[in-house]
Amino acid sequence: MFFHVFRENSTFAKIKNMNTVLEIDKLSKHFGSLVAVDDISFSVEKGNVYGLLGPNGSGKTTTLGMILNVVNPTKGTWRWFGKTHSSDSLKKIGAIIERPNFYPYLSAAKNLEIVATIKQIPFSRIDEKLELVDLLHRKNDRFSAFSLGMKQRLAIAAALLNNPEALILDEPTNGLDPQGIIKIREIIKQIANMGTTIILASHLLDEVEKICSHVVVLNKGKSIYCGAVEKMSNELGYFELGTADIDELVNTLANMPYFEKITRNQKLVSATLKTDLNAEELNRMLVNQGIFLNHLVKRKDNLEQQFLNLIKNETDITINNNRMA
Amino acid sequence: MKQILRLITIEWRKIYSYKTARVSIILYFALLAAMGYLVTVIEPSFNNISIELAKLGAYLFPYVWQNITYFADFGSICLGIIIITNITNEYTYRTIKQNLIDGLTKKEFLLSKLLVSLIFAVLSTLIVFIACLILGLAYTENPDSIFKGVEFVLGYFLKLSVFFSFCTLLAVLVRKSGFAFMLVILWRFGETIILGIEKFGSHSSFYLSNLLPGNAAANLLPFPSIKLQNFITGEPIFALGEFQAEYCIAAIVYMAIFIFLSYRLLKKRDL
Repeated sequence: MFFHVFRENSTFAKIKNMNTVLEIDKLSKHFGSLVAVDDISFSVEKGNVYGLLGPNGSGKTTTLGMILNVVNPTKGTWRWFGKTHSSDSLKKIGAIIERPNFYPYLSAAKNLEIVATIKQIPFSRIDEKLELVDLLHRKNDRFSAFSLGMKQRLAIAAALLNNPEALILDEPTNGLDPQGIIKIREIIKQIANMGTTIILASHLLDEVEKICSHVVVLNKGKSIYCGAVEKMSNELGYFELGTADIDELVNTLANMPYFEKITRNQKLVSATLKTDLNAEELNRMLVNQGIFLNHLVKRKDNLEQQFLNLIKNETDITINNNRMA
Repeated sequence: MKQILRLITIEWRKIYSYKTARVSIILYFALLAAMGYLVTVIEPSFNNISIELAKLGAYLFPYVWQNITYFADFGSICLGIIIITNITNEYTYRTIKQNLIDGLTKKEFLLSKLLVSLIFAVLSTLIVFIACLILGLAYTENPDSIFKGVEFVLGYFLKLSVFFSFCTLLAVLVRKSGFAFMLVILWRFGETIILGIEKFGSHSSFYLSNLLPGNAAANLLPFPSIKLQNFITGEPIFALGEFQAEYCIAAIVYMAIFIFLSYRLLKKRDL
C-alpha cells in the first residue's frame, strides 16, 4: 500500500520535472557590498512565454547572466531541464543578452558558422534561420555594416540556430525604431507559436503584455511575483460608464452595494468594484432605474498599473518594516 | 582529439576571415621563411666595412643553429601582437560572452587560444629548423656533425611558447590590447634593469634575476659570442653558446604558471 503511493508520487514528480525547463533555487549575487540578486527562486514551465519584469537595476540581466554561465553566482543553484547546469545544457538553449555581440569584421553567415561550430550543429540551418529573420539577402555582408535592427535580428537567428528548447531574450527591442520593434515582436510570436519556451526580459510592459502568458517580477534583486499574467492582481476591476446625466449616475451608483470607489472625470464615471458584478447585470439594474448608458466598459488594471502596484506595495512594506524597526 | 579540432576550427574562422590578422600572419611566416635566403644577401656594414656574414662562418654547423634562432626570435613580437589582439578583441566585441552563452566553456575558450599559440610556435620552429638545415648544408663543406647545437631550436620553441603564454595572461588580465602590449614591453625592461642592478658591483657566475621569466627565456637563446682573435688565424670567429637546462625547466614552469593564472582569472571574473 505504502509502496504504491510512493511510486505514484515519484512518477508524478518525474512528469512535473520533464515539463520544467528551468528551476532557480535561492540564487544570489553580491558585487562587493551591493546585493544585485537576493535569494531569487522561480521556475519556468515548458511551452510558456515568460516575461521577466523589473525596473532598471532590479537584477534581470544579472540573473540571466548567472543561469547562462557568464556571471558567477555568490550562492544558490539552478537546473536546466532537470539537470545540474553544464555547458551542454547551454547548447539546448538560445540566448541574447543586452546587445548583439558578433565579430564586426565577419559577414552574417561567417558569424553564424562560428556559433554553429560552438554548438556543434550543421551549417545547413544557417540559411533557414537567416530566412526566418529576413536577412538571407544580406548574408554575405559584414556585421559592422548592419543597422541595429538587423544586428538584433541576426542575434535572434544565432540564438535559434540550434532549434532551442528555450529562448532567452534580454531587452530584444531596446533602441529599435517602431518598425524594428514590430518586426522583432512578430518573430517572437512566431517562435512562441512553434512551442518554444521563451523568457523575455523587458521593462517595456506593453510589450510583455502583448507577448507573455506568465510573468516573473523582480524588484531590488528579489522576485516578488511569479505566475500567470492574469493572476498577477486579485482586483476585480472597474467599470467605465457614460450617460447624459452624470450626476444622477454617480448618485445611483453610490447607492449600490458593489463599489468601493466612484470617481468622475469629465464625461465618464469610473467605479471600482468591491464585489464581483458583470456588465450585463449592471446595465439591467441601471435601465430599471431609468438610466440609459452611452458607454459601458468593464476593465481590469493593465499590466503597467498592476506592476506599479506590486512594486509600490513592496516599497510600502519595506518602509513600514523600517518604521516598525 | 575531435574537441581539439573543433576548437581549432573555431579559431580558424575567427582569425582567417579577419583580413588584418590574416595578412600579418601570412606576412610574418613568409618573411620568416624568406629570412633563410635574406641573411645570405644582406651585408651589414660598420664604418664602411661591409661584413659578409657567410664568410665569417655564421652559417656553418654548429653555429648556424644558434645564430639563426637568435635572429629569428626578434620576429616573435609580431606573433605576440596577433595573439594579444586575438584575445582582447573578444573582450572589446564582447564575443567572449556570446561564445560562453552559446555553450563554449571557459576552459575550451582558453584552450582554443593556447592552441593558436602552439600552432604559431610549432610552425615558426619548423620553418627556422628547415632554414638552419638548408643554410648549414649549403655553407658547411664537410658536415660531420649536423645536429650539434640543434638544441637551440628547442630553446627557440620554448622561448616562443613561454612568451606567447605570457602574452595570453596579460591579454586576459588587462583586456585592452594597447595596455597589454605596453605591459609586455615594460616587463621586459623591468627585468633587464633588475638584472643590471644585481650585476652592478658583483661578480658571480650565477645571478638570481636570471631566473625571472623574461631573463630565463632570453637565456635560452644566448647572444652569439664572437672571438675576434680567431679572425686573424682564419678559424671560425663564432663560439657556440651554452644551452642550459635550468632555463628550460624555468621556462616550462613559468609557462604552466601563466596558463594556470589565465585560467583562474577567466574562471573567477564575471563577464
